Amino acid sequence: MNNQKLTAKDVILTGALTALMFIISMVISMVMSMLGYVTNVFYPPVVALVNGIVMMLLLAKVPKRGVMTISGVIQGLLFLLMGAFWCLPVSLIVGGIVGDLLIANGGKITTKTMTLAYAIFSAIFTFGAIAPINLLQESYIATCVKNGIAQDYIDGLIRMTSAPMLIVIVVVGFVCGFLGALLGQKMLNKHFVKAGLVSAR
Amino acid sequence: MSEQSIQQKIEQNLFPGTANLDPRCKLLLLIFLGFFSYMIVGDVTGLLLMVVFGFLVAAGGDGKWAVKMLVAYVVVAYLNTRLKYVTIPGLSVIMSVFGVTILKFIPIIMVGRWVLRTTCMDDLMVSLERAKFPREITIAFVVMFRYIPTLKIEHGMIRNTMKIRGIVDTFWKKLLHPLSTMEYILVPLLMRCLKVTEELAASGTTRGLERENVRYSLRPVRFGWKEVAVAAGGFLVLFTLYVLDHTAVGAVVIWR
Repeated sequence: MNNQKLTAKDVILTGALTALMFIISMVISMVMSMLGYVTNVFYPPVVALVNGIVMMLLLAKVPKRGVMTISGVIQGLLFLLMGAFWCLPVSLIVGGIVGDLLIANGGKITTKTMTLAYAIFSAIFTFGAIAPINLLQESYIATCVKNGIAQDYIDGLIRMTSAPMLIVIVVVGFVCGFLGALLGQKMLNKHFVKAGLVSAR
Repeated sequence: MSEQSIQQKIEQNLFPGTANLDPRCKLLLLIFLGFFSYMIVGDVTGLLLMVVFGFLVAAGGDGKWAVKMLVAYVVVAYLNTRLKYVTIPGLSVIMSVFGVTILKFIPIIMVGRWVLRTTCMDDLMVSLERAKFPREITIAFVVMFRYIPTLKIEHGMIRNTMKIRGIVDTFWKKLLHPLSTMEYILVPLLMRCLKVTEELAASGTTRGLERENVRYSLRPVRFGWKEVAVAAGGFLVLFTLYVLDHTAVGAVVIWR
């Protein structure tokens, strides 16, 4: 049952829910990058926390291999169209593929593998979103200064993304992905299983 | 309706001028624009970028929208520089980031909405398939394009329903109560998603979405010399602006 081909219905559901995930991450990243540099670097974990609900619903409805890859690739493409730095789309695609490899590890998709795969996915996404600020510091600062972003903000960002902090942020990304998956499963049980939209497993 | 008239209906041009370019070409332009938009920072070059792409959008039949965005760009750019003279602790940092983000997004939003409005989903699908994208990704991508406007409508409907039941929902409440926001808005949205996609899948399957063979189209969908010219031209313009940005032109200040 696990290595079934994806039908058109599965793919359409993936597309629609990915659209929702993309909108959520856009809104959250916009709001949090405006609130200050501390919240800016922690936006991927928050995105992962909220998107956990959507992803868990998607995986519960379509428990097949390939779903996370498709969703990652499409989110990456859209971020590319919106003008994101290339690291972010690449991290989403890599995260999707790694998640897919993990999710059907033993040939069976369970809630445990779902949670683990999503946590890894969110850690990779966090790394891809935040690491460029550290790795490509000079060009990043130059672009920001030219764009007229306040010096305090840039200094803060650099301080927040130094090596030890970067590890902390990625770990937070992993933990938030884990929590998001748990939250998603809770929401599923509370709302969707009761309504008969998702069968409990 | 006879077969002839159906064919005529399909083949007629819905949009004028540049809107008839291949969807791949439009997407490519959007990617170039997104790539360069953050690197072109001068006042003159930024404005030139807006004007050039404004002409592109206007030639594609959305002149009003282009003018609107151009005006918005000028206003935001002007306000942005004004803000540099005022310092309010805390707030001015936020405002500077906010202003720059909006300023960089305006060209992308302008071209993005135009692409979204002037691209038939059938054309997009055929052209992506001809670009050798796997079928799973093509279908999901097209559904996603089609679904983003729907999400906005659904969100409005959910808010209306909340209003009828006397649950007030403002931006600040959304921020202050993230958990209830998730439950009140995300869960109904997901429910609607499930229902709508079921219908969408049924209608798509009956129209042959699952067919394995190669699609053909009555409307011409090909990456011809016109598309190559526009894509190369767009890239050249952006690259020239980027180079200009590093010369004296980039340092000229218009907004003061």
